[in-house]
Amino acid sequence: MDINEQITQLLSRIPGAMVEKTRFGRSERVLFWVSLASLKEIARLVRAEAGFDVLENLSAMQVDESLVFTYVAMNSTTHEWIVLRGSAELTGDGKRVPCPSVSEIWPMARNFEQEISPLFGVAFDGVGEGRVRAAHAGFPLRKDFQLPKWEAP
Amino acid sequence: MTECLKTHASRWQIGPYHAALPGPMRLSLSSDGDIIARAECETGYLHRGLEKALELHPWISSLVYADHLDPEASVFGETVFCLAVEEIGKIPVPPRAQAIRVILLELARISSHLLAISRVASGVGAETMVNYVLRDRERVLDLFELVSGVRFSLNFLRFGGVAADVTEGFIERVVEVCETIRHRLKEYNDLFTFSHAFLKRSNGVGVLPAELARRFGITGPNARASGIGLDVRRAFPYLGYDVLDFEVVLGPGGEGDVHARFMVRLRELAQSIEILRQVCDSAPAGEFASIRVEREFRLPKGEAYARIESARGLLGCHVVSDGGTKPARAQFRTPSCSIIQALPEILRGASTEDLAPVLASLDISVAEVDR
Repeated sequence: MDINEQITQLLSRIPGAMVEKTRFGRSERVLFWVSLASLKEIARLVRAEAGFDVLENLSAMQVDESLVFTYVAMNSTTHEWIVLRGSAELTGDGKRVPCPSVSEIWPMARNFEQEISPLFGVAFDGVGEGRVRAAHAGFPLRKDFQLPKWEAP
Repeated sequence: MTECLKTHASRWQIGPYHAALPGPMRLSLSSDGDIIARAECETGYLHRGLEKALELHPWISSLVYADHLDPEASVFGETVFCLAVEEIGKIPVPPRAQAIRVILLELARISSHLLAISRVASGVGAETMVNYVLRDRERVLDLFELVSGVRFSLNFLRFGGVAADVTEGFIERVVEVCETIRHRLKEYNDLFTFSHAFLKRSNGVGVLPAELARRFGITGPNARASGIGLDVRRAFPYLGYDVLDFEVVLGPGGEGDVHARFMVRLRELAQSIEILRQVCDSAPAGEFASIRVEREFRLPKGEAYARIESARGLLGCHVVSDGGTKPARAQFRTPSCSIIQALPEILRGASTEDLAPVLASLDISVAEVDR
């Protein structure tokens, strides 16, 4: 079975898990938009039944008034890889956006979550403040972050 | 009646600056006598806002920031960023440019591995080996200076190729340096690799079990020393690596200790030399770039995720373009982040005297952790 069909079948087991399937960029690779509310369950299923045991990358970016999280999961045996994506609305009041953590399923995710947390203002459940030292107020990688003005001495 | 000496666990804060550390980071150790009972690692002291800076500059300027991801092996950062951008823009890379890129990548791998080897030698106090290895590394840095004018942070790659063709005689100089280093490998083995003193300080020290490496997504020579055979050049070939003949080096017995990591890097030097020999023999003539990128260059809307095998492991780059003149987002997945995450578990149970060789053998780049 094609890996995309396998993932589609797995996601269909969780009601409301799959939002849509699109292309990843301009490649032929399928990108699965998923519901963040079902993220942990999706991660467990994808790891246990499809063999994607490595979270190769987790990146975040702001698109309009949402934060978009992109998960690249890899099967360490076959080297197949899939892309999952979820989004969360910004609250508009400068507070951290909640997002489920997948570090129970993929322990390497904690490293990415600890980095995204202070830079984008995301509260991953069970993950602390983050490891980027806060020398600034606000969330630097958000588009509305005001860079500090430099004044000549 | 014997007296018992009451001891308590002692706490030891190392850093952010310390000779044993790979860069600005803080290690909090709780040790029971000489044995490390608990270790905590704090990074972020070298956070430069690289990914934010990439979003604020035009595409051609943002390439300079990608080059500064890991100053000790800058070509890898440039390459992975270029590959992602070229995938979004469907920008072809001419065969000659691909060959030049592979030459620079393998030279950067040799330079980085030699530096790691010198640090391991320094960690066990073998100063002669340090000098010998750095002497040979200088020859590689001279090649970088010959091609780009600088020894580090070459800023030589461009979207669609490289900045310029290599000078006449460069390929011959590469072959000459490779031959020299190939002979030196025997010298390193005779002097250091199997010396009793080094074996005592490195065998069974700083063990990274394969299960731990898998759990934290550790890749590169550290993982291969533990028996995990992932090499991105084989698993996800790029820039023509699929037609090159080289071995994926695994650690002897998969022990994953300091000596195994040292051996993997040493043997990977030989593989890089073999790759360079093949590429130099077959480097085609032709264009060094398919397009010329100006300041107002716009990339079509889209995104891509590219990955390469850097000297430290799987280096990934996720680039998003909104069709404008600047990246909407560029994020790097760096191999050293995974090692930092596993560091507390690797150090638990190790002796404080082994801290320096263990950290050196893991070859952590704090610059690519913090970005």
